[in-house]
Amino acid sequence: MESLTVLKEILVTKFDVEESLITPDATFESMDLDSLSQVELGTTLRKRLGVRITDAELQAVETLADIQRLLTTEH
Amino acid sequence: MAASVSVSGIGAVSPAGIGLAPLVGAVLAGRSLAAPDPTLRSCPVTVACRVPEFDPKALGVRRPALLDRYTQLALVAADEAMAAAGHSVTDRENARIAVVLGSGAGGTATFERQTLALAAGGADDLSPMVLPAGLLNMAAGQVAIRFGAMGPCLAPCTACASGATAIGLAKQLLERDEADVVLAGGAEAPVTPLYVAAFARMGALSPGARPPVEVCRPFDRARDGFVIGEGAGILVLERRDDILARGARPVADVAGYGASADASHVTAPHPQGRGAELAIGRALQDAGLAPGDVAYLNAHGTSTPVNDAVEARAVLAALGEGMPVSSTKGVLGHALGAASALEAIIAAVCTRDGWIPPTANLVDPDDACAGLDLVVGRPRRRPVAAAMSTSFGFGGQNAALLFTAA
Repeated sequence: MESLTVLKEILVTKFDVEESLITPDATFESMDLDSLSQVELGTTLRKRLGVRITDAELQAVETLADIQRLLTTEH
Repeated sequence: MAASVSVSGIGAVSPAGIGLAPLVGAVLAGRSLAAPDPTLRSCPVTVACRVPEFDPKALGVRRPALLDRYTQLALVAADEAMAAAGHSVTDRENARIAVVLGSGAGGTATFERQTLALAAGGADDLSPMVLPAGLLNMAAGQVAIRFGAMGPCLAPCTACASGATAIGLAKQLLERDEADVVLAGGAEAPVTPLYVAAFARMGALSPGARPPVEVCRPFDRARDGFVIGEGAGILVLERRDDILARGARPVADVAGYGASADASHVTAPHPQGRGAELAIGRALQDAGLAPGDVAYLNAHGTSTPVNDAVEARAVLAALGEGMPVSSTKGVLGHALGAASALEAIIAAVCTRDGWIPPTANLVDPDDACAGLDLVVGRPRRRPVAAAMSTSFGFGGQNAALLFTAA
């Protein structure tokens, strides 16, 4: 499955984020994901995609587009 | 004199389904809900009483994937209880709402899964939610968050008596005027490989040689262990006058609470049932009632050989001959800390509705029960002025609750 699809699916199923909120410029804040949820997201992405996103990289993330970039560059 | 405390609302999630109504229907029907559980295929015992078709998201639980199942069960029961009491979910913080929600196993499923993840993949694979989801006090914390409850928030653990202990402590909070509304009860989701295998290794679970629905048979001579269950039972408690003042109707009065310890053995009950007897006596004393006032005892009655025999003796000693007794674990299995809350709910509803549920599968009573009026077969319809529920936890921790008709 394409990494973007997986990211979207995790946000919807695990974190109950409304699909309409999942846009490239969405932030952790706009999706109501606290710092624990951000680490959980990183852990889940690594398990699902084998892509390692460090806690430092996560902290630098501002928008979903940033995460997408991390997922594609690490591939 | 302490203010009278009453139940203003009840919520239940049990192997009978979601809500108080299916719970009442199942215990009145008196048929075991035990079934083979697909998640226990690799366990030495594979029969359990699980909450059927539990969909937390559909039931209004937010982000259930970040919660342990025992917290999901608690939140659904809490919603029902608060709605039944006439309190709505609001965004307002309220310093006069308290939560006392006990559990024995807490988020054991979370810990079990994450321990495997840690062993297999190291710390990087460990979910950061393991403690926020798994800790024994998180159901209480989540219920407080849900209702903006900024009063005292406690998660008492007395193993299988946890829910009853919680209700007793809630009564005391209200008597001391430390809160106006208390969500009290227990929640448990221990149908997991670790808990089932651990109880099996202790010989506490029935090895299940019979068909699943015949395995759990409290007080029956052929009983050979309990059937593990799960669920959540929440009662909203308030001072009686407060309930009446806002035009609501109490379900039942929480007349008495008694606690004790066996101080004898970690798992086996006190050989003479002294701990159980003490708890029953203290609940009577707290209520200012005599043994003859009690119309029904909902027993701990786990269906283990030792518990039921010792409990029968303790009940005879504390409440005298002829006491109507049943164990609803024959129907529901044993939901550990939640069992004591679900059974307290049944006792409370008995006083409101006037019935006594039967014990499932009790056909050949143990000799130790001679002198007890065991209720079997069909429920008895009759006024129940006062009903007691007894609960005994590993560690020798005992609680008895006494409800009277409101």
